[in-house]
Amino acid sequence: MTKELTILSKNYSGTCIRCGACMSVCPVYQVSLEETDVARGKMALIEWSQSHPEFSQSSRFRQLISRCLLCGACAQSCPNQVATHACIQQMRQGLSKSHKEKIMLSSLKTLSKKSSSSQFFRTSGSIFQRLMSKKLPETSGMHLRFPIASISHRQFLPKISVKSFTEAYSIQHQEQPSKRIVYFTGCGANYFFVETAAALVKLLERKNIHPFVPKDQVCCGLPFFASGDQTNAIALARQNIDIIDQLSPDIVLTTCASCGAHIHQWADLFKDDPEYHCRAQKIARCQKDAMMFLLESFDRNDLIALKKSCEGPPKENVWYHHPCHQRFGKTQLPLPKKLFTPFSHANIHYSDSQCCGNGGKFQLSHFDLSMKIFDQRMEAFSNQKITHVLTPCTGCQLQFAEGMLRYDMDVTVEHPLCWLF
Amino acid sequence: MNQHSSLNRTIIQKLKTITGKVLVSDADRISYAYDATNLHYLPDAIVFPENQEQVSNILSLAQEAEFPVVPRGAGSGLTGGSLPVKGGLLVVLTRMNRIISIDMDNLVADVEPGVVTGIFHKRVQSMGLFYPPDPSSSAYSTLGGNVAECAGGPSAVKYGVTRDYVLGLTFVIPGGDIVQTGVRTAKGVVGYDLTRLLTGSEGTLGIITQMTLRLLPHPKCVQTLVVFYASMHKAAENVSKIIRKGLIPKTIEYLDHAAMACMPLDFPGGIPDEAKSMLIIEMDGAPGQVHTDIQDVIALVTESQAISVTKAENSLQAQSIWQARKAISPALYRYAPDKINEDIVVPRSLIPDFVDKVDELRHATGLTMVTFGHAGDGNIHFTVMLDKNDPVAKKKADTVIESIFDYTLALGGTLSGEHGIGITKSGYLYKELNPGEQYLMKQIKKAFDPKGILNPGKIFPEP
Ligand SMILES: Cc1cc2nc3c(=O)[nH]c(=O)nc-3n(C[C@H](O)[C@H](O)[C@H](O)COP(=O)(O)OP(=O)(O)OC[C@H]3O[C@@H](n4cnc5c(N)ncnc54)[C@H](O)[C@@H]3O)c2cc1C
Repeated sequence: MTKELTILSKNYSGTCIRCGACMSVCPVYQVSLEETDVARGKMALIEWSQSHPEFSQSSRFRQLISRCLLCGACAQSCPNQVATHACIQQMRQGLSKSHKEKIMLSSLKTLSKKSSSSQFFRTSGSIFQRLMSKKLPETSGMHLRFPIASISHRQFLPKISVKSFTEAYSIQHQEQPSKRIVYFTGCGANYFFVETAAALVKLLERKNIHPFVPKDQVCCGLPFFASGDQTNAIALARQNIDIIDQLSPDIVLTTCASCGAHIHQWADLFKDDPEYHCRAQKIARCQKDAMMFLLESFDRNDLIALKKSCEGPPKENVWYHHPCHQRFGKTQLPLPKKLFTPFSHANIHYSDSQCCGNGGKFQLSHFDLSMKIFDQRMEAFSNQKITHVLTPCTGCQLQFAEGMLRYDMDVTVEHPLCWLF
Repeated sequence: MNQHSSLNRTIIQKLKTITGKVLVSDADRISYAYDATNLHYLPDAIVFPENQEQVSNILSLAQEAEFPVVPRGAGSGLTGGSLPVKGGLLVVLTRMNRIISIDMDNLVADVEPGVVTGIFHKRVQSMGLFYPPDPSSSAYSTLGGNVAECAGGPSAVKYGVTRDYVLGLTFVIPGGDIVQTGVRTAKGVVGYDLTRLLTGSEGTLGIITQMTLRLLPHPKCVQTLVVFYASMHKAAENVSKIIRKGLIPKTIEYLDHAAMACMPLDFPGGIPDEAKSMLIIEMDGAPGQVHTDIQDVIALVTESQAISVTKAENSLQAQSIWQARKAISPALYRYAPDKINEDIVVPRSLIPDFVDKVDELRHATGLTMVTFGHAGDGNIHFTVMLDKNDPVAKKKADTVIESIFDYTLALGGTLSGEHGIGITKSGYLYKELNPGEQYLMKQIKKAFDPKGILNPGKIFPEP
């Protein structure tokens, strides 16, 4: 019965009908309580801008479109299947182009001329923070998050590793690996939180797995994509696709929820390029979050063997924050509760209903708003003596690190892999 | 963009001194020009009062300067109640969102109007209490909007509607006077019942600033059944059969086959191919009682040729059944770009007649019609999906609505069970209310709002 009804020649879903369902999930709306911030308001504004060019060029429009975390909660809850966050990203793309804000990063230009990859990591005479520019390649989206001007707002600045993880990692391949595994570190684990990458590699060693960690991998491109800079997002994706695809992986492991999610958007960047589109899709199918890989390949005993003291009365109060990029969209994952059940020495509080407010560059351009969202999030923390915050996402990790400083709380913020190992 | 604002610079300035923030930009006005009807009327300015005093000052200024004031909650209304059809000032109450107190001993709560219904549900539930009114929009609608529309929901068959849970109100009338009505007790008969009058008044008599709501202890146990039928008539018949048996479910929701097609494909337990309609039946109460009641219902529907009966295994499954049900209304747009949505009520025992009538009209006109809703209390959402730019379809739909309304009234029903009249149904008001009733109502409106500044253009058709 339903068949004849669902297979209609024309389907009118996909247009916003202003029902308001997005209000119940939008982290930005929930602190500002203004319609311009929620998806249905933004859809109204976008529709209006299309017939009013002067408005579409206004700074107000640009500013309103920037007030979105692109977390995808609205699209997920939309009963009419409107790809709200994709519309907002598209607007940003248009705005970014029209303002000539973005030119291709110079190192990406050389990259596209097929220069050697070592050159690619050399720093350019950038205007960015000195330290950052010394150690972070120009192509890292982290520059968008930590430009000089914004540092004053922030209390937390991550330490930048002397050597990036990919530089330090030396390959010890098995003779004939049963599965070809590539580890895509993302900028977080490569430059700031190298201990995450190290933990993963050590964990894999236990199973005699030695992943490929290509040195030439670059930023996933999400920070560029999210700010509407299609040019650099495409160039970065292309480089990554070339490098990963050539290794013909069975599995591409990620330790950052945001990178993991963005890998699934690579294919969308190549709508006009069937070859890359296809290769991007192939890689997306292989993408797997490291936590999920662990869940599948480590049993209870394997897990217990990881930690020295895992029994006895609870001594640690651990907060597990489920990142938006694992709650919504194509990369939705269940909470990895099984990984933690063997450890009775810790009380694990799972939290999978709220955004931390980071949103990458959002935190930079709307610092106060971002912190308000974080404050709401912190209400759930109240009067619990938390010792650890675990979250498998670089953005969330940065946000909690900042938040803990602001709340003057002595809490270890880390990737769950680090806690496990 | 509308340049003829009823609010001049002086007024805006005065509003600023009252609420601090006044939105007047095009962008802001555009994002406050709609509600869930998806109709479009621009306000001239928007304010967010944070307390009763500010509301009072706003209404005193409005009375003096004679500009329209339109209260707005979440803007999820389905009849255009919060649309500023005459422009003017939109008063958004979402920032008055404190749950002031929950009194466990007397089972009452004091709340501000901007509290989101779903948040309130969760809060009282965490204290072992229960606030039954549960419109499908509860995740985002406000309690103030619920009271102003007298919202209902699936549980009305057993627990009644918002009206049955409002004990007292504080509201501000045009001119700025603050009125407090009602009681904090289970009974109270002093004077006219202004609390009930305000409930369902669609923001035309006063702006509600505080509400005293009645609570119940949370039922210990809830069980959910999904029943499929090969005919719509059969399902509709079962509704009153169940109740005739002396079983009062918390919920009996009815869905026809066009509505079922809008549910997600991963509906728990799947949808049988030959199913033409379904009921969602929920029983609540003490565990033992619920258990036997559910068995009785299963026996009854099986006897009545249900083609499949599934019991939700756990609360998670029940939740996804409800999620699927709540997703239907907006998902209907897969059929056509426009929706005409009526929430008529007929006596429960006559639902089968109503369903047959719809079928007859569907065949006669070829229009896409969908019926679903709170069948337990006779409240059926009757929906026509069409392209309003198609003049033939539009004309046919208008005729269909006329005959549906006439038929509903002939069955002893009413034109709106819970969505209100607003602007989308005011043209049909005359069908149900005789001139005498309309006259009395207009006199009441005048007593509250002599200058007609509060939510003008609503309920009563413009002469
Ligand atoms: C998908 C969907 C499903 C729905 N399901 C149901 C359902 O099952 N049952 C049901 O009854 N309704 C339902 N509705 C309709 C709607 O959600 C209800 O009418 C709800 O009560 C409106 O609340 P709101 O806060 O959005 O009010 P708004 O839409 O903002 O306003 C509604 C009316 O209340 C007035 N108002 C708002 N706040 C105040 C105040 N503080 N003082 C005075 N007047 C005020 C406004 O002026 C307006 O006339 C549904 C809507 C949608 C979109």
